[in-house]
Amino acid sequence: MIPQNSHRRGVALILVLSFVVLATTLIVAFFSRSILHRQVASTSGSQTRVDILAQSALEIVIGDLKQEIAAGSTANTVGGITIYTPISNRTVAPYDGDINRTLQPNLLKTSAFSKAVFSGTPYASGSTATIRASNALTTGTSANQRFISLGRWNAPLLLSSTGSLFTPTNFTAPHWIIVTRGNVGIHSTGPVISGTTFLGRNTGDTGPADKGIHNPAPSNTDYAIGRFAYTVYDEGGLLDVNVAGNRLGATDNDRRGRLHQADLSVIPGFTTTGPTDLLSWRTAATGTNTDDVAGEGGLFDPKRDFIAVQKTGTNSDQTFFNRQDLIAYVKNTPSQFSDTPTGLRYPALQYLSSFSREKNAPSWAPTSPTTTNPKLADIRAKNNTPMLKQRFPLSRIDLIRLETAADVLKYFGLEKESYYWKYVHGSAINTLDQVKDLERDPNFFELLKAAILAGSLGKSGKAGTASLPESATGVLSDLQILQIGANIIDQYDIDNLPTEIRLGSEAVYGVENLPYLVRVFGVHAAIDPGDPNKINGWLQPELWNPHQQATTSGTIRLRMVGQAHTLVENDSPSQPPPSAPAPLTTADAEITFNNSSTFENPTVLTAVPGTIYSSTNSIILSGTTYVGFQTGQVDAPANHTLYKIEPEVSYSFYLDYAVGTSGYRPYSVWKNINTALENLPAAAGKHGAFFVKADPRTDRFGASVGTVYNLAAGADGEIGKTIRMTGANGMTIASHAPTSGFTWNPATNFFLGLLSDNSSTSDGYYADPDGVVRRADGANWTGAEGLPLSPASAGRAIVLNRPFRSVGELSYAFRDLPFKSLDFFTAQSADAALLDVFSVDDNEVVAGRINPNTRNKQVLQAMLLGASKSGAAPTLSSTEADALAQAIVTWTGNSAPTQGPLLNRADLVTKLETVIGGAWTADADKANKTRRESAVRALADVSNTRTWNLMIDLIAQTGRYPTGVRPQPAETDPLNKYFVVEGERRYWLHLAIDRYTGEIVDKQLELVSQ
Amino acid sequence: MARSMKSYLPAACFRRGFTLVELLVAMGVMSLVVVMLTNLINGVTLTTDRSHRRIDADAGARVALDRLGLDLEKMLQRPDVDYAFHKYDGNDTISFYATTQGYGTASRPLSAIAYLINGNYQLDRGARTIAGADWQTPVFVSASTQSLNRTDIVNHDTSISEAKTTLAAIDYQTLCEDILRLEFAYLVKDAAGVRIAKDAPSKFENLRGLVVGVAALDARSRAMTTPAQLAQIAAGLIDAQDGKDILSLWDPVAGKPLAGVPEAATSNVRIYQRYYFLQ
Repeated sequence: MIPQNSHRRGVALILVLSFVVLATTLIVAFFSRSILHRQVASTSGSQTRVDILAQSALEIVIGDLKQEIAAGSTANTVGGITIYTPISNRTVAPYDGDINRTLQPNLLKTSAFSKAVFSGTPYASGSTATIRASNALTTGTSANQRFISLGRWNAPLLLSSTGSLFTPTNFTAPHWIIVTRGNVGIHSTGPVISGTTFLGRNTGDTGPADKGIHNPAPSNTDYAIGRFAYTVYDEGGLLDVNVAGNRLGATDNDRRGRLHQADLSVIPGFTTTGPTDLLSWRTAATGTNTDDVAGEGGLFDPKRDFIAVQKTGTNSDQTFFNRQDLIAYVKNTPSQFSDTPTGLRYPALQYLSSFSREKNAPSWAPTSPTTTNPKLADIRAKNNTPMLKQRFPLSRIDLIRLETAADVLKYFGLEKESYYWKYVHGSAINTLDQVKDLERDPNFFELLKAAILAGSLGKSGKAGTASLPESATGVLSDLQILQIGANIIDQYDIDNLPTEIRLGSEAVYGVENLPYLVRVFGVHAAIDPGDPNKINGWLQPELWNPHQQATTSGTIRLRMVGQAHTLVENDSPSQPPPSAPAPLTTADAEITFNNSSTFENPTVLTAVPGTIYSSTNSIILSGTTYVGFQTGQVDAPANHTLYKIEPEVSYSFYLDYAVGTSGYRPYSVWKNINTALENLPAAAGKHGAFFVKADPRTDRFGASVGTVYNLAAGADGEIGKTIRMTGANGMTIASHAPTSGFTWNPATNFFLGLLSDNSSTSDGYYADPDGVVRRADGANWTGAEGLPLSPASAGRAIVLNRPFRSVGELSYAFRDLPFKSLDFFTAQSADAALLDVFSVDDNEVVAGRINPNTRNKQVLQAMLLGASKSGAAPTLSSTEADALAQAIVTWTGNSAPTQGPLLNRADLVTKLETVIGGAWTADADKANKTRRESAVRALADVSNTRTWNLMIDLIAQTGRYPTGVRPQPAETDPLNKYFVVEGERRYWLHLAIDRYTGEIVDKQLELVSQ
Repeated sequence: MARSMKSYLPAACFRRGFTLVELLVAMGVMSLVVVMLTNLINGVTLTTDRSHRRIDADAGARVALDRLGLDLEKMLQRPDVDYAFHKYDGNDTISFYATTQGYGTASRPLSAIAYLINGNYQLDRGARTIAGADWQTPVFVSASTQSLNRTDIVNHDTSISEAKTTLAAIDYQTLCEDILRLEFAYLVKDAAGVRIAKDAPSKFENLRGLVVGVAALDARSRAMTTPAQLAQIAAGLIDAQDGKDILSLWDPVAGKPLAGVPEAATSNVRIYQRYYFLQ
């Protein structure tokens, strides 16, 4: 029996319990939902935290790299802006001393235990890099079973491996860098805790109780919040496949010099048709368009920077957005890429990148900087920023053809007057220091002056030889700069009309593919049959076009300005009076010839069809009618046999080219011959005495007086001969050879032809004003090869008459010294800096450059293979390209003090002469300047040492060491064993950083999905 | 029968029943207890309801902002690739290309992405693997656009239309039903440093990122409102201004009563903001 009140109490209990259950259910539901969302929020928070950690870690790595730059440099701060000039060539490239780059060519550094980002000499002794990494390998397993395998580290596929798996060989996994509240990195010698006690206070430990990376106490700055590890690759040493690849047609296929002319077939891992198929896909819009008009998107468009793709209507080129995109492409196109020949997984990816940038500005510095030749990266504008923000684009030369006045004035300092240009920026060419005060950018000629070593300019042959006719302006360096500039302009423009530029009262004329006056013979003959004792004198010109592609050149006029007279003497005191000064009339002083000869070899003017001359200006000798300038008739008694032609005061010869119907314009002047031409052969009509130039294209060294070598008595001198290197049939300088600064072997004669070699081992050579003997174009001649004088020689000069395709093509321009073009082939070159100051590309930041210090031979080989050796066939063979590339890689990777990384583009010339020269096998290649320079032409415009292109592969993990962990000191790998990973993020940062300013030129961040 | 039952009852029961007072007191106590319990339950319900609404709004906003962040991290930042951060009076739109997979058959993970507020005042995300993105088809993403210039992101109307035409309605999916307002401002770097601006910088190089603000209204609160009232709520959250982040602009007005809109709805408007760094 249950009491009634018990029933009532039971009801109450049930009611209360029901409410309790209801309330509990609600509370549990609420909290379970809250916990669920808290977990979601926590996950989101972890992702945010790991994102922040990863990006902060990247900034730390970048900061360390900037510290490396500073430690390897001489810093110059002006107005708060610092320029970091490398201490040596060892510090121009990122430190890689802890990596065996023979085994891992692309790897520069990793986060490695007890290693800093740089160390040792030549880094500044006071600069110590922070050692950050712990001894925990990233391949170790964490508390929640997380680890980074070697295969994952090779996800970018930039590491070498020897098997068919992704797992790299000869690669030590990076170590973790522990990030605590107060520090980035703990290390046995680091600032936090030493040894294995960092996880907590073990028995016997001393020190603050709140220390330990596991202790979350707010005051503990050693509490670990995450970790990261990284590898750094030399992405600049790869071929940027968004640019690289040759799609030129057959007629242009030998062009090299820019990365979009690289031959991808040398890259391992491509199928036979792979390169072509890849390029067809990538350049669907551009195709093989070789247009060179700025802004129109052709392959030779100087404005084309490949950072953006080209579009044509609704079609467009393609591009790889990032490395993951490139990797996916390679994996998805088995028709283009294979595992062969090495059996590696996608071996091509070890040579290809999707990112490259260069700050297109010079960084050359001379050994001894001067006001005239300063350190180019460190020359400042008025506001203290670097003055040279961009290499001078050679495409601007076309502005002169277009005659856009404002631009020509801005970029060249020239104004058009009549038919010629006048340099208007003062009476001399400014140094960059002077330009700074003018608060403008330096012009073309000022840059030439800054880049060409001043000590190599203004060489005179006159000093010490007072009677040697030479223009007094020969010693003016600025005129030589102006002349070189005009020569460059005339190499670039497509016409064959010499550009005339005036500086004050002086004029220079660009060298074109035209005949030039090389010799003037003095000849006498009795032309009056009725009076054999009447003798006439003639000056008979010999013209020569010393270029390879000599051709008929339209109408040319030769003028003699000034007068001379004929003299006949003997030992008798009674001498007949000299002839009346001649020529007397304008007609007598002019000879016009039209397509009469190519003048491929020196040719004395004759009365061939098309030649117009005065009747007094001809003489028939041995059945040939020679044309020249008569110097008058004199009585010549029988016993008078000393003949000479003497200037009235002085006379000059002008060569003019015809410009349509508007008359003539001068293009070559042989000035102020004020010396008598003596010792004419006694026999009439014989060519044995002459004035001769060391090079017909220049007035430098003036007119040397010569006689035909070993001319037999009564014989006619050999005309139509070039100035030979040896005595046979060559010309001996009889009396007035240039001497000051010249060395002539006293045992031999003065052969001017020796100057086309100008080697200090030859019998005749000269030193430049700075005392340096700089060899001429024929420096490496051997046998019949390499002589710039020989007929039909591959060693002769070339006039391109087309836009430059590489900055290396500047070397075709004549240097205004005998048989010297701009020198990109000798170690003593005074012109090598031009490679760094000028460029074909017209952008401040460009894509498509490679680090010439790359360890990947194939990358250089791709640029070299198929490159023209001398502007046309033949081209560099696979064997030659391989030998050259290997030689360069060996040099730049050598630890010898005199070798190692190249500092800048100029080092391609001044450091690699022996390397490049030694790689050739055929005499024709060794001996000919243009062929030896083919490697420089192919590499100069793509070479980038100024901007580091790095790829940082970084993995960051947030997490913690659980409170209360007490690992024993002897435990294995405690830093991994007790770490609980909460979040992970991986980034590939493509970084372009200016080595000289520390400026981030560009960067591309890839979030890596795995 | 009654008698036999009576014989079993305790004697006291037969002695007296409940008095009226007792009944009244008992009923009063019971009523009090019921009222208290009702209030308690209501209070708990209200609290949990508010918490649920807040959690729902937080979760929705978090998902949306996280998704936007992931997409922006994979955004193609190239000079020849268009994107459009377009500002309107009211809700803005964000469109760009990203190396992520969208709807479509192309195997290359390259998609047009767009974020906008749809006609129902919900945040939509569109993602379409663009035509021609596959490696077999050499057509670049912005082939049809002209004068693509990274230095001018203000006049990218062409690219906006392209992005929109690339994305059909079917490509959109509602990312968060609660979000009714999308507003952003630019993080612009200039000589004075980095500042918040309502107008785009003249050069892309000076664009450092976006400040994105969203406002959310949970489903229950939405149920109390009409579309017009949602529009009114959205309009009450003002557009971006120079020098001020979105949160500071919206905080004084969010949750405040609006004429003609149920206060129960306006009081549940929640605002969120996140910074995204693009370079």
